[in-house]
This record gives sequence, structure tokens and C-alpha cells, in this order.
Amino acid sequence: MKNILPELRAQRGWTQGDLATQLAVSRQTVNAVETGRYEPSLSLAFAIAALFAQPIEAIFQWQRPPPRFAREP
Amino acid sequence: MPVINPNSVPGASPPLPPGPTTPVDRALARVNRFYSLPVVGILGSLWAYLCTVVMAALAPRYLAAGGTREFVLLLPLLTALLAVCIIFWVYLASDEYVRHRILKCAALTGVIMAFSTLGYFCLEMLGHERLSMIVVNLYGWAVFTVLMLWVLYRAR
Repeated sequence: MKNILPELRAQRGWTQGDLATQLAVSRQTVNAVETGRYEPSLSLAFAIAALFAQPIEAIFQWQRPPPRFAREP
Repeated sequence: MPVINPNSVPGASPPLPPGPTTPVDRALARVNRFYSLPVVGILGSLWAYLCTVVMAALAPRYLAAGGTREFVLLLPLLTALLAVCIIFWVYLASDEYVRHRILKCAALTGVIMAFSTLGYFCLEMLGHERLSMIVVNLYGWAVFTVLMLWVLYRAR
């Protein structure tokens, strides 16, 4: 899942630590979400959307994962 | 890219207070955050557990058979329970990603312990001297504690 959190954060001049403080999570969590290593829960996604006053789908773009075991035609 | 004033963004919080500025202040803040209550709790409970294990190991040599010796022999169970309770408290107090990491630590410790036990079993099958399960036990606690401390250090 891709997201535009780094851009939104940069627009406001916040560090990852600042964003983590506002969301009441650890900086590690913000870093993991931004780099795509971790997909946030619904409640955290709603908190992020509320903080930036944008809809969730504007911040997070879901992508269909590639099939792990693709069938040969 | 246009710079947006955080105060003009609807729903945004007020500006944050400035953090530590000098390198010494930053280093001290980092150390203080690492040696926080969870780390002290985990290390303290592990220390208590190790002490009770040593006491239980020495009890048959120095204590006569009876209620006191049985109590000392069972004491590691209580301190192990204390350690589990503290780790569970840390789990509950953490955010969702750190919880995810703690569960991964537990799973990784389980896998390491399973393979270690299998290794001990193979050594016994090959004729090696029988190993005490206390070695596996202490090894597992050490691995889990190191993994937990690493997670807490990264989550500072």
C-alpha cells in the first residue's frame, strides 16, 4: 500500500517524531508506515486522515498484491 | 511544493514545543528514553528470575527437606510469572506496530528454542552427555530479552 505521508509531513515541516507525537504512536511506527513496511490499522489510518484533514483514500493508495503462485496459461 | 502553515490547516494541532537542542541534551534524552520503565521492568524481572533459579539450584545442597526447600524450588515459577506479566504490560502499553514487533520476537524466540531443543536431542542421539533443560530455559529467556530490548530501543 502506497501513501503520501512523507509529502504531507514535509508540507507541514514536521519530523517523523512530531507526527508520532501527534498520533500518540512511536516514531518507529510512523517510519514503518511511511516506508510501506507496515500497513496501519483502520483506527490509525482514520487518525492520520483526521490529522491531515483528508480522506483516507487520498493518503493511502491500495494496490492489488501480485499473485504469489501465478498459474501458467 | 508550497509550504503550508500548520496553523492554517483545518484539524491540525498547534505547533509542538521545541525539543532538546544541544548534542548533549539529545544524547541524554535518548538514554533516558531507552532506560524507561519498560526496560527497567524487563531487566529487573529477568534479574529476579535468574536469582531465584540460582537459589533453586543451590537449595538441595544447603536446605533440609521440607516446606522451605520446596518453596525455594518453586520460587522461579513466581518470578517467571512476574516477567511474563511485565512483558504483557509492555505489550498492552505499546502501539500497534511495536505490538506486532513484540509478537514477532515471541515467535522468533519460539522458533530458535524449537531448533535448539532439536539440536540438543540430536546431540543426545549421537551420544553426547545429557543436557539440562535449564540451559535451554536460560538460553530462551536471554534470546527473548535481547530481542525485546532491541524492539524497545528502536521504539524509543
